[in-house]
Amino acid sequence: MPKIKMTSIKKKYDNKGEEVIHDFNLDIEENEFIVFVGPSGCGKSTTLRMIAGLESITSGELWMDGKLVNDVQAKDRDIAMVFQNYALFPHYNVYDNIAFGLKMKKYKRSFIKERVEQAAEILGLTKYLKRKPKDLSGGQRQRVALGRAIVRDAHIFLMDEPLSNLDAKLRIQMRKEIINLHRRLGTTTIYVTHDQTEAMTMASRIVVLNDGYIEQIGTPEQVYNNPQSKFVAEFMGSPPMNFLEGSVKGNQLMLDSGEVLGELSQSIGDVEKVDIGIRSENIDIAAHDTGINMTVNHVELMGADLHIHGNADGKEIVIRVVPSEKVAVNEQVSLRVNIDMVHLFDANTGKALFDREKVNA
Amino acid sequence: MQNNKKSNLKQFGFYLLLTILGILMVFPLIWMLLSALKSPGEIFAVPLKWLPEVAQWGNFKEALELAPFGLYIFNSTFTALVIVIFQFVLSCMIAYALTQMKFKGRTLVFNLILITYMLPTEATYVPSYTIVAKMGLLDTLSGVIISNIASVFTIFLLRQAFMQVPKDTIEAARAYGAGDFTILWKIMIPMSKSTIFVVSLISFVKMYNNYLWPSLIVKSEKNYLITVGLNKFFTSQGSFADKWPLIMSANVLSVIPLLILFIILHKWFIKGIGDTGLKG
Repeated sequence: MPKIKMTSIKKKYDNKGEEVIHDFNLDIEENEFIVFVGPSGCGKSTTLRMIAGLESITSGELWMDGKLVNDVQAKDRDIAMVFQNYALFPHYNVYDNIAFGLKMKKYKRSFIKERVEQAAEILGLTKYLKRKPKDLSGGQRQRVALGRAIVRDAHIFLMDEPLSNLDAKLRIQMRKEIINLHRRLGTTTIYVTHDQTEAMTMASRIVVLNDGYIEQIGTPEQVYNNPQSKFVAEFMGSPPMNFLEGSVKGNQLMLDSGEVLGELSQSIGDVEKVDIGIRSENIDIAAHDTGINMTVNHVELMGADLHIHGNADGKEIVIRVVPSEKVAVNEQVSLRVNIDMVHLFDANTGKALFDREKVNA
Repeated sequence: MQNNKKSNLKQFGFYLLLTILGILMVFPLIWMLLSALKSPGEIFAVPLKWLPEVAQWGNFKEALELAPFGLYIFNSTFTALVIVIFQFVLSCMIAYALTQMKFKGRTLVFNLILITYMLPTEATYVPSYTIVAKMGLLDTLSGVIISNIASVFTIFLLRQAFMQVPKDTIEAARAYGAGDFTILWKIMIPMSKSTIFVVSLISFVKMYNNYLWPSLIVKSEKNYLITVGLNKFFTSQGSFADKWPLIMSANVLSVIPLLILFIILHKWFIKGIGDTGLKG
């Protein structure tokens, strides 16, 4: 039995009557770090809130530890939740904030003290136990929120965009701390974010959501290397995947302009209209004219990489090359595409036309 | 430089206006205090005499001998305090239900409560009197208390204050094992304490100063509130010139509890008014 099992879950808000989560099915195993990722309004927070018990489930079943919990109140679900705005209690000091969940369970005072001090030690909050949340920085506040979650020894951690209010540097640091915490405690965690980098770096499995539907479930590698839809391909990865329009005829992959990109190593039959997805790292600047010409619009030196933005075949393209590459704005360059790494999507449905994992296996 | 001068002048004008308004507000109180210490002749002296030649501290003693003002003040303070406690408990629960619980007709309930506020209080005196009479609570302090325990004003302000508590905070409490009662008691009330404080204080003052309704309910002297007692004292002594210092002394005695309360709590009072946007 999985730790959390969600079967055909649907969500409708009473007043609108419009379904916001459609047929959500997911099994989450013990100790997993699941990340729900997607653009805003895709239903990721709603799903998390249904798991927390803060939002009712319109239909479907939610199982936790083998128990159907659809009608179990939030307070009885044995979960610990971390919110985007920390949701600390402003009138309590750090100690009382962290101790809140334990006090609710009516543990002995000495036990609570021990647990809170332990958590404060792990999170580097020992010095701040007497302070009120308003006297803490954003990072410290989020640590208090984490502390409140970890002392409870809950079976499930739910985190709703916990890092989005922090600055970039702190976000990276807290990301590491959360990963370490998960490694240390091994608690099953569901983490919601709109930041694909967080999803890629933290998750053991990613659930990509769009418009209330699950687009794909997989490990970060699977989602990145084998996106099952154009949406996932576009959403995951930075810079985002490049898309060109073309067709497949007798295994030949052609651009609409008539240029042949190469021969596919697997047969998918003739397709009149395909969207060709190519990651920026799978395009190089060719030494000689290949037929795909790009006009360079601008160049960004990212430190370890150089991103070259330009126009090719009427589309905007970004390629990632080594910083030593010498390219000037407005220059015309020829591109070479690694044909073995292209992703093909049906131009109408957006679905992947082949499964790269199966091809490469 | 010129701008600086202009803004200084503006500020001076502003403070001057505030000072004048302040004096106007506090003048009756000061006049009452001074008159309480004057002899009958000094109160009506022409030209006006500001300070008594010899402070007549005996006026207070004499007033206390003529009527049991101590008992009246106790009755008023006691009933006002109990009413405020009841109003606090009941209004908190209603405001919690109105803001945190989802039920059909929630807005309707709130609107109905508000509508009763539009009704002039005097219009409800006859039916209220009948109810209190049927309950056998006429001429009792319990009658005064029970007929005042529901306050639309308190419900309304607490509802507004509870609506300001961030949703996340309440949800966090819920997710960490708190039930409705704990959320109300440990989260909502502490987070709205300045509003609760100022509302309670306003209610206390209102109840302490309440005259017309209690004068209809209480009949025997032992149950007089200070407002009723003062009026009876005024009518029984007559408004003859020689009684005015005594009436003023009784007035001074009656405002002492409120003055003490305000002196102790004025910081909170001001903060609460600032937080709730209440004035006047």
